[in-house]
Amino acid sequence: MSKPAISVENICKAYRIGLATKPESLKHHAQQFLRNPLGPLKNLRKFNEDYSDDAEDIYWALKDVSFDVQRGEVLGLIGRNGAGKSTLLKVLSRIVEPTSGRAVMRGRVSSLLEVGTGFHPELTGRENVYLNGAILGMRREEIKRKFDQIVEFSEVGKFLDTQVKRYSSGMYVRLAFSVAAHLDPEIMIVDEVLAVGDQAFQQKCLGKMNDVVKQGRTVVFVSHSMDAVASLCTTVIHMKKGRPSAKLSMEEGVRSYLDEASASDNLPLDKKPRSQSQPHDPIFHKLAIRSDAGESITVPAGGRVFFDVTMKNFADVPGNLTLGVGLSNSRGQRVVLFHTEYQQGRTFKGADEMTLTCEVPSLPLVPGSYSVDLVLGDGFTMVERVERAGAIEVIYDDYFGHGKLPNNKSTTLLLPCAWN
Amino acid sequence: MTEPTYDETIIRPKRGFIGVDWAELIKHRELLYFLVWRDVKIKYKQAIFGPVWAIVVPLVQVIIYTLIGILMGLSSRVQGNVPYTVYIYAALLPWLFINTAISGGGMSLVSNQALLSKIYMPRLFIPTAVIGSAIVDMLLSMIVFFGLIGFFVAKTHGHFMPSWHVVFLPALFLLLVTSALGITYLLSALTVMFRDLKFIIPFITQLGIWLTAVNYPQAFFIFKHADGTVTDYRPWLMLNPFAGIIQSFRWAIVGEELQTSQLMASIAWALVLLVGGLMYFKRVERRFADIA
Repeated sequence: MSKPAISVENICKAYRIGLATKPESLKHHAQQFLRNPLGPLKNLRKFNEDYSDDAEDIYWALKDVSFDVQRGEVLGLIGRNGAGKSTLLKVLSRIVEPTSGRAVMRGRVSSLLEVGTGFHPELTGRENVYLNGAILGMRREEIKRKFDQIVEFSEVGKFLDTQVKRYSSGMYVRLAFSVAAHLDPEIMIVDEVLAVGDQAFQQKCLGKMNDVVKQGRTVVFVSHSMDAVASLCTTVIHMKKGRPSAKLSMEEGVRSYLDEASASDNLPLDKKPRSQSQPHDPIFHKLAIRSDAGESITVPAGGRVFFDVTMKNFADVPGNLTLGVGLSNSRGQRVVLFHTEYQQGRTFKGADEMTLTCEVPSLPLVPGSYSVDLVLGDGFTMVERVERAGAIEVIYDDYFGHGKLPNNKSTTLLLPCAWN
Repeated sequence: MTEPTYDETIIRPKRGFIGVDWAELIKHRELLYFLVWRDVKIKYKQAIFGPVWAIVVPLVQVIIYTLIGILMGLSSRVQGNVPYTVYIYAALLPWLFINTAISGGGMSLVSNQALLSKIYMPRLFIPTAVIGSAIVDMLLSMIVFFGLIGFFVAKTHGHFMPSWHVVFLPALFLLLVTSALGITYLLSALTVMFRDLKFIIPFITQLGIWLTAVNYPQAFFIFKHADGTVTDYRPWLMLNPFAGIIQSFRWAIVGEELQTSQLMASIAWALVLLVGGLMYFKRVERRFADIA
C-alpha cells in the first residue's frame, strides 16, 4: 500500500480571541510594558505554549483533526459557517501555521482559496494571466505554453488587452478561474470557488474539476453546494465546531449536513451564523417574507411574494454592491436566485441602514419547503452570506388551472406549455 | 510497479529560530520578477507621461533644494567647483531610494493582504519587489543625472569634473540595496504587527531627509563658537544608518572628503538591518495570515 497523498495528524489551530481581528496597537503594548516590563516575555511564552482547553480567550478553530487522503481520492469538506473548513484548508495550504499537530503533503500542491488572488485592476487581462499564474506557482514557460488554452476557456479573448477594472464581474471571475483551472498539481485544495460566474460557466468549471478528478489527482474540496459535493466527491468529512466527523460516503455526508443545517433555523437573523470575506459586524438584520395575504411564510404555487431585506452598518463597505435572494429546496439544491444585478443590472452603495424589497410577481415552484439564502456581494466577491436566513413554504394552488401539480420528485419549476 | 516519488511537504508549528528557505526563493525566483514587473507597471500605468515621472520627480526636488540652498547661502559651504545642483542630486538619488524602501516597503505587506491570507508564496518577495522596482526608478533617474553632469562639465569648460571615485559607485549601490532591503523587511513586518507604523512612517521619511543631511552640506554639523573654537558634531551621524551611504555617494560623484567612520558605521548598520530585518520577518511571518 502506498503512502497517502495527505496525512493529517492531530492538527489543532487556536486563535486568541481579539488577535485575529484586531492588530495589536503600540499604545496597548506601551501601557502593558509600563505596568509590567517583563510581561511581554511571559505573554509570548504563553502564546506559544499555553493553550489549555479551558482558557476563556482562546477559540479553537480546529481541534484534533486527523485523516488521510489517498491518491486519487476526492474529499469533500462540508459543514456550517465557522466549522473550521476554511481554516483547515489554510493550514493545508501553509497559509496559517497549526498550533499543534502535523500534516504531510506528498506531491505538488496548488491551493485555490479565492479566484484571482493578486489580480490587479489596473493591469490588462493578459498581464493578469501572467501575474496570477506566477502567484499560483506556475513557471513563466508553463504559462506561455498554456496561455491560449487559458484564454479560450475564459471566453474573454476579445478583451485580453483591456484593463481588468473595465471587465464585468463575470468576465473577471471567468478569467481568474481559467488561470487556476490550468494548474497542474498532484494535490489540489479548493475552497468554494466554483460558485462563480453564470450557470453555464459554473457547469464548465464543474466539468473542468471532473477532468482533474479523472486524471487521478487528489482533491480536497470545500463547498456549501451539496450538488457540487454529490457530483465530485468520493468521500466526505463533516466538520462541526472545529472537529471532523469520521470519513463518510457521499450520501451519508450530505444527509448529515442537511440534518445539522435545519437545527439552527430558529435563531433570529442577526444572530445566525454567516460567512464574510472580511471580518465585519453582521450586516443582514432582518428578512421579512410577504405574500398577497400579508406577512407569511406560506406562498401559493405561482403566487406573488415579497422579500424585505434589512441591512445595517455597512456604510464602510466599498464598491457597487449587489444583493441576491436565493431559494434552495430541501435537498440543499439552489433553485432560483433573485439578484439585483443579474435580473435588473442594479447595484447600490453601502449605508447605515437600508431595506430592499424584492418583488417576485410569480413563484412557480413545486410545493415544498425552501430555504432562503441571502448574499451581499461587491461585484467580485461575496461580502456577507447567510444561508437559511429564512424559510418559505410553497403550498398547493391550482397554478395550471386544471387541478393537478407535479410533485417535488419529478421537477422543481412549474412552467406552462402547450401540447397539440 | 514502482511508486513514483513525490516531494514531501511537512506542515507543523515552527519553534524558535526560523531560517530563510533559500532553495524555495530560488525555485520561485520568477515570481519575484513578476512582482517587480507588476509594481513598475502599475506605478506608471495611468499617468499620461508614464515613466517620465521617475525622472521628473527627483529633478523637481533637486531644483527646489538648489534654489533654497542658493537663497539661504547653504551652497557656499560646498568646496571646489561643484555645481550645487549636482551636489544635491548626488545625495537625493540614493535618498529617494531609501525613501521608497521605508514608505513603500513598510506598507508592502499591508497593502497586499490577499497575498498573505489567500495563498502561500514566499512572502519575503513582497517587500523585496518594492526594492526591485525602486532600482528601476533609480536607474532611470541616473541617466538624467549623468546627462546633467555632462551639461555642467560642458558649461564650466571642464572646471567641474566628476571624481574618479565613481568607480566605487557599484559597491556603494550594493551597500545601499543591502540596507534598503534590511529596513524594508523590518518595517514591512512591523507594520503588519503594529498598524501604528502606518502613521509613523511618513514622519520617518520627512525627518530623515534633514537628519541625513541630504538637502544641505554636512559642513553644517561643524559649529564655530564665538571664541573661535570649533565643535564637530558629524560623528553623531554615525547613529544614522544612511548618513554614511549618502555622504559616500557625494564622495564618489563630486569628490567631497570621505567620512570613513560614517561609511564604516553605515556598513555595520546595513548588515545589522539586513540580518535583524530577516530574522524578525521570519519570526513573525507565520502569524501574518492570522493578523492581516
